[in-house]
Amino acid sequence: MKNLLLKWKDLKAEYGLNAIIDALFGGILYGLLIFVPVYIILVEIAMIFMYQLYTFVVIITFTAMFNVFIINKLTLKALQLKKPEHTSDIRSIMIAHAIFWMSIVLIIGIIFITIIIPILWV
Amino acid sequence: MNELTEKAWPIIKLLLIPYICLMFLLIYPIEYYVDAPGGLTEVESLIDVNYNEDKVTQGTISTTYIVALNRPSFFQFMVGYFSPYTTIDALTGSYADYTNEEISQISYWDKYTSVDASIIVAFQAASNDNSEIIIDYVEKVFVFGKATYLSNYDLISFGDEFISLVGDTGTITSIDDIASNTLLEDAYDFTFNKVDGEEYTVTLTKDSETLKFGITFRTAYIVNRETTFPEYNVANSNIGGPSGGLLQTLAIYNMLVPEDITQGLKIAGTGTIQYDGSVGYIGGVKQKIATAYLNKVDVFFIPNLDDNYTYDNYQEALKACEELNIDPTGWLVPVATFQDALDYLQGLGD
Repeated sequence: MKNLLLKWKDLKAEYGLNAIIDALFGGILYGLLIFVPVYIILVEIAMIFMYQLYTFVVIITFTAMFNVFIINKLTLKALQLKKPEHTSDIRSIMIAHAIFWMSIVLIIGIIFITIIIPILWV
Repeated sequence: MNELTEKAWPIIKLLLIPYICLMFLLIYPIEYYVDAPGGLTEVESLIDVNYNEDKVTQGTISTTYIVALNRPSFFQFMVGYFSPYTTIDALTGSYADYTNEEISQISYWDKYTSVDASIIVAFQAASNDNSEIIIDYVEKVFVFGKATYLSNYDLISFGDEFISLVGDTGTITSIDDIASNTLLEDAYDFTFNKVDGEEYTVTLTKDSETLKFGITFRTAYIVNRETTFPEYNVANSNIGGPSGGLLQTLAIYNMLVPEDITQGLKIAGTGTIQYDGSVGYIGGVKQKIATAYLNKVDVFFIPNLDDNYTYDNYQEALKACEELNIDPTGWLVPVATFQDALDYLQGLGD
């Protein structure tokens, strides 16, 4: 954790906060542009096959996790393109970042399956 | 971000038009409806009667819901077309004039009145053997349909309660007197109660072509909860429609009587409930049969209607079973009344 914090400080010093936010914004924008149709397709199919609702929630959860991975991948690419000769360990930071957000998505998916759907589907 | 855009620009240019086309297929609504199988909802999770708290129920009683998609996207239409369990058709009748939100309002209003009808029938049946159980209800008249030519269309909502009308001979409160008391003028003042209790008066003008106001009323009995015993709670439901009436009635009855009528079985079914205990016609039979089959229920009640109805749900259900290759033997049970369903379950225990 301490090591990661040091790597983050290096990255911030090398790129500056604005460039990092810009790269992250690009990653999120393009990541969502790719995945929005996928989400709509999955939700629309789930509405027709509602009797497989839980299966679709699992699929959507894994899709969202993959979406997070792609957003991080694109952010990494944007940072690499900004400074091809960069010295900071962006890859490790992005892996940690992706794992954190993928875990959050997984927890949200589990909450949907165990709590929200049984409450809403009355 | 600019770096990413520059790098991906050739791909973006190539995929832009297919992307827009795909989004159009996914979003643009078409004037059809798609009925698809849904699931089972245990009545216990919707209605809880504060009585016989220590009673252990071995089985379950569930209503069956289907997914009714009004104005699906092209994509949903295509997916539905290839599913063996769905029914697709053009939106017709008054539903074609209503927005999806209005159709939802009607559907949830149906659910609300069906829950009260179930409580009335179940409490009345249970009170025959237990004088402690008291049911009290009042008759109310609600807005149930709006024609496109209805004046002040947006001021009146589905489910608003009709209170009175200033007619030709004075103030009237019965809908039976509306036609005979609105002959002299073109416009009359109607008073309604909103769902939240707020009273309002609106002037409705007759349509010049049809000479009608363009409003449809429905009478329903609403339980007077203050004078009804035992108390009960109804959870907010996200599932609309009246077709859970019969099963709701069975489940509420089971909460009121000492014996367990479920006999340890997974019971589901469909059918509206009338105030005299008879079971009424429902739609989406094919999808409900598929839902029951996929959920492996032990008993599935289906309305078996009299000759007054054009369609017979039981015959429809047998046809659906044949179409879907499902054997209906032993689990598909036709019933005409609440008592029929009760007799069937009690017969299983003997």
